Amino acid sequence: MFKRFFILIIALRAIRRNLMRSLLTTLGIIIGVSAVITMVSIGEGARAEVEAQVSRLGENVILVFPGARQLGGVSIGGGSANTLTVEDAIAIRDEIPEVIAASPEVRSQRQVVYGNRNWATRIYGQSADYLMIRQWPLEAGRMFTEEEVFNARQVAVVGQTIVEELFEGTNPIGETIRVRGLPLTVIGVLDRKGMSLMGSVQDDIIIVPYTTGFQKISGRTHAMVINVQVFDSSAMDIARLKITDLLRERHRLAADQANDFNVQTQEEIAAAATETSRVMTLLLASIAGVSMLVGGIGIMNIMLVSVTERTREIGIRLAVGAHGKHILLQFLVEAVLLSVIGGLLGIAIGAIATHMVGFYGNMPVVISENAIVAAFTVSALVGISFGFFPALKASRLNPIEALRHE
Amino acid sequence: MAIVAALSSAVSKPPSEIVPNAINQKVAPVIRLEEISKVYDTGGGISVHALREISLDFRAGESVALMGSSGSGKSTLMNLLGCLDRPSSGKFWLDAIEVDKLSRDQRADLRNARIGFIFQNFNLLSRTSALENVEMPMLYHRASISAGAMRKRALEALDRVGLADRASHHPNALSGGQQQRVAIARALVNQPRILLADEPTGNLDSRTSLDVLALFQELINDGLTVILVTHEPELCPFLQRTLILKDGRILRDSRRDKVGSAAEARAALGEDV
Repeated sequence: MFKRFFILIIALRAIRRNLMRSLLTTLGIIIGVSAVITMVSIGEGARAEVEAQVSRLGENVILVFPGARQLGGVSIGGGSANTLTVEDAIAIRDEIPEVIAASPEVRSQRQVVYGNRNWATRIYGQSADYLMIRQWPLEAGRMFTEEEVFNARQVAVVGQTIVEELFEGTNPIGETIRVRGLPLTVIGVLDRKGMSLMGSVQDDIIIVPYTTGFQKISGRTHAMVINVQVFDSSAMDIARLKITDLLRERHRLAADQANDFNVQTQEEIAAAATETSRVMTLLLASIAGVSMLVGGIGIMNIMLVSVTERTREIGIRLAVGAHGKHILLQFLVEAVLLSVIGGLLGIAIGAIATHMVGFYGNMPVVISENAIVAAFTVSALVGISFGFFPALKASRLNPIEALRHE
Repeated sequence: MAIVAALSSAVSKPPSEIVPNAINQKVAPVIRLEEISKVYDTGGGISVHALREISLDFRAGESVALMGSSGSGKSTLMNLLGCLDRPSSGKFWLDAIEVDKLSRDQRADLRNARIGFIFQNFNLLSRTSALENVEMPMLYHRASISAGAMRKRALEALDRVGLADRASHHPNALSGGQQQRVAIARALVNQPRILLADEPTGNLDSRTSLDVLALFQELINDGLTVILVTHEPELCPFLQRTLILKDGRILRDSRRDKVGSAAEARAALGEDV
């Protein structure tokens, strides 16, 4: 029986003998594996974040968009159609028993001024129960009341980015900010929320009563979206059907006419976002796969050189009684060891890179155990498949000619 | 010394056990060649007859000088004797085993167990200690040998060639003569029946050459068959038999009654000043 332990020692010694060359050879594998680990970790992080947001956004939220809009489909432009009114939102809240809150949303991109500072941000017109729908707590102050909504009061609740950019971290409550000359009194500060599903910073926000938003800021008459909250997850489907029926009736749509609105749950939106990140991960992983292929070819190349260099050694081993399979195994183990060492280094570098992306890039990352196992397995397979041909070549050498080799 | 004891016991087996069709000799042959021919096809329909119907016997404890100009077929004969190659025709027995019928791996096992190789340029693995060089053939032994036993046997073999204190040295830290003795220890470690030496003194000065020859003579006395390819006629007085090849045939096969002692000749030369 051939001693496996010795094969390992012989292979390690051969690698150590040409340390620099071995390192350069494994560079392709190192880059490939670290790329896979980093990409998959970022992808997993995005997915975990999406999942966390789904629960944070409230499990029982339904969004009603105007116009035709399909999940993962083609017609996305419908969102700008003017088909949803404030009255639609009020009707959904008042006429459907499963619904406990509804907020007609209007967004405007505006320059906001405080003192000598200004900042471009998004101003959202919402109802008084919007923060309840979004499960978004206040850090300080209060949300505007229904009475303030009814009277279109010039009050605002601001996000953390606004506090940082306009107020430089000082307490903004009671201060007045201006939007195109319109003064708004800050009455509340929102908790930090972080990135949204689509990657925008949610803290860069000012929320005003929707009446103020429609009449005094945007000048629009129709809601861009209606945020709806249902009392329980079990009622989601029925609420969705009832919203559809109600809106069809209110919009006087004939039986053969398509909906001029679109009802979606948060889960569906999250699914679309997850799908996007999944495709992205797949794409990046395939690029990393190409790197692994290049790395494998590098290993094959250097193993062929190694076999030629060590022809005489192979001759000596064959002369003293090594079988072809011993030589095959020896070179195969060396190739696998090379690529596995590359894989391990790649995993380490990938983990470090992932942490750095998470730390400096302020992105959610999750180091995937599956990716580590997969990267390790693939690098071992690369070693076996690309090391086999050079090893076979070595094992088939004629001992007489190999001994004569200079 | 354990090696020598094992060797002598192998040699003292009854001849009929070693070669079934034992010929009328005091000691049965270790190697028997019957009408061995080797033809190389060089391509283009031209073939080279390296060996032409050679028949030879080698006995245990015999020392042979194999001579001949280049192209005489002596390298081909050595490769055949070393079971590295197979004859084109003819029969070849090593210890009653018909070598020309064996597969590549079976011949490898036969080389491992019964043949020791010694080369002109020593062919040690560089950057590998003397001890590990000597251990190497045991890695490929059919029987599993523990690491401890391998080390013990390798140290014994190194002690046999007088290099026990150099076990951890790498070949580049050893003199030519010492390297060749490590190679001899490597050849001896699996307790072979035959030593095949290809120009073993070709890279050595005359004093070191005699040292190596003296070592060979000790091994021959212990029953080992030593076949030595050489260009140097001055080695012949120290070997029992001289074979001269020419054009693939045996030109001369002579035995010498009185063999000189390499150890005495070495002593006569004195120490290098």
